[in-house]
Amino acid sequence: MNKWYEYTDEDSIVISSRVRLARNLEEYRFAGKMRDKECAALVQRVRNQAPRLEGKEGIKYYSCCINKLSDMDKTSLQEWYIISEEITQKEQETALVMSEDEGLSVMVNEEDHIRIQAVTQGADLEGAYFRANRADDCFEELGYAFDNRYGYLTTSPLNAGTGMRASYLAFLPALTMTGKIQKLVDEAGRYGVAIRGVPGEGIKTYGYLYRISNQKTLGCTEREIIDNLKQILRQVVDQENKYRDYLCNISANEIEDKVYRSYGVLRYAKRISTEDGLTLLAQLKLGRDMGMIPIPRSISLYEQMVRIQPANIQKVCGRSLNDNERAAYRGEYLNKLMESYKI
Amino acid sequence: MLCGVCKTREARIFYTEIINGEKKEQYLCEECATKSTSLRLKTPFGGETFSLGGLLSGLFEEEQEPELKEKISAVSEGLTCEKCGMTYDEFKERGSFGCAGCYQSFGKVLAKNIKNIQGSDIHVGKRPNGVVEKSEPEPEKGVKLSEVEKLSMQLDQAVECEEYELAASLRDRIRELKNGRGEVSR
Repeated sequence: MNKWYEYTDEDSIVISSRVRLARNLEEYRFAGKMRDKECAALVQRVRNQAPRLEGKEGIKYYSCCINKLSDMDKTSLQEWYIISEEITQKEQETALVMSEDEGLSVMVNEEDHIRIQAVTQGADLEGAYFRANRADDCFEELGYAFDNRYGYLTTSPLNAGTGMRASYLAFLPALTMTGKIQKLVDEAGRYGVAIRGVPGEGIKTYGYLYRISNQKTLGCTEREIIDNLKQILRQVVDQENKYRDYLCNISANEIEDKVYRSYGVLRYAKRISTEDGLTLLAQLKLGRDMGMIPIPRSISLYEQMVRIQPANIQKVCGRSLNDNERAAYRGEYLNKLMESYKI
Repeated sequence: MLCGVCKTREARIFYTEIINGEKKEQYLCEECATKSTSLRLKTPFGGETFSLGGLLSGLFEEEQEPELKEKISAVSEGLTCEKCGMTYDEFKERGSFGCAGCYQSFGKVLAKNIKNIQGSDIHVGKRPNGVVEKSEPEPEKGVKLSEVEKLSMQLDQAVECEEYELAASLRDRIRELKNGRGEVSR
């Protein structure tokens, strides 16, 4: 079965849309105050709902105890954005319930008892919400902690109300290169929307990737959160396209040179670090999306940006590698990948 | 001891990292620790946290004028969630609640702060199936309220109106009644 990022051609700007819902059960104290026995019972009860999810979605679901996974497997799931760092640190019983296409996943006993996450390809927050909401309905019978005034009661009051964080993952090379990101962050902030670089700190990023998400969860409906984000995204996409045209007009040759240099390094360099790999693949994606280099849109370069991360590259290799070995293997992997593109 | 990375600032954090069984230990200053830990096994796609929980107490503190802070602390002093035993101070420190009951237990002190942060304190989104919206949160007509319940409602009102002196005296009165001394002193 295809993964969520393999359904259609990769978009030139919006990589994915994601909706996360935070829920707690009335019956138990919140995470951090729970006893080991309660954690185990919670995990079991949520995992038992997997067949219901399968029935509703018509696809297979898998589940596992995160605390029993190896460090490499945990980090790999983190690199795919399926689980959070927080849950990997927990010693008490935690679990992951995930659909075969990896588009829907549920973390059990993270900061909240249940964290539902739905991801769709491209700009499709409605699709992500539809899926997250359907899963939410499945878990509801477990007895959610809900209050008329504060809505879904979450461990942190900053998530109360809808308990919903919706976001887009956007590829913004032109806005980054022209130094417009900070202005965009400030503008979006006024509308309750946060933009930050992923990976990285603040707006710093290695692969021109940014997460655009809602800041507030209380006092607005799920529909309003989605509509607000959609409106901001429309403006971000317009701006990014405008600055791509601008870059093309003033420095098409320089950009093309940069794209082919990136290709050259990826094709022949013997050692490539994660950060370099991300930047080079991002430049290749820009070149592909601007029609400068013949790589089909059906190839997800975002997928490769995740696959070359430290834990994932070791999984590709099939064994554990130290820092040096990783850089060498990443080089080898990317060389072969570039060769397969037959440019 | 100086930081092992910048070698200029005082080391305040002992940082241990285990990657594939290889243990690396360092004494770091706060600035370098932030940088090092943000790299996290060079897993830039990981390490994303969902909530801003840790910032909470800071946000609450900043929002308040010293005088107001003092009044709030008079109301919140000794405030404990009966269901999970979490104190208000503990909540402020952790930035997270201990159980669903904490929302009620600390609600009086929190309502305004939640509104400041979230821009609202009334949920208008999805509701679980079967939960009907209540326009009037107060008890139905005809239900006889106990003295403690009446005073608790007055306390809610006082805190919402920021009448903290009145709130503190109501809180003391409720405490007396709960301890069984109330009726005697009346």
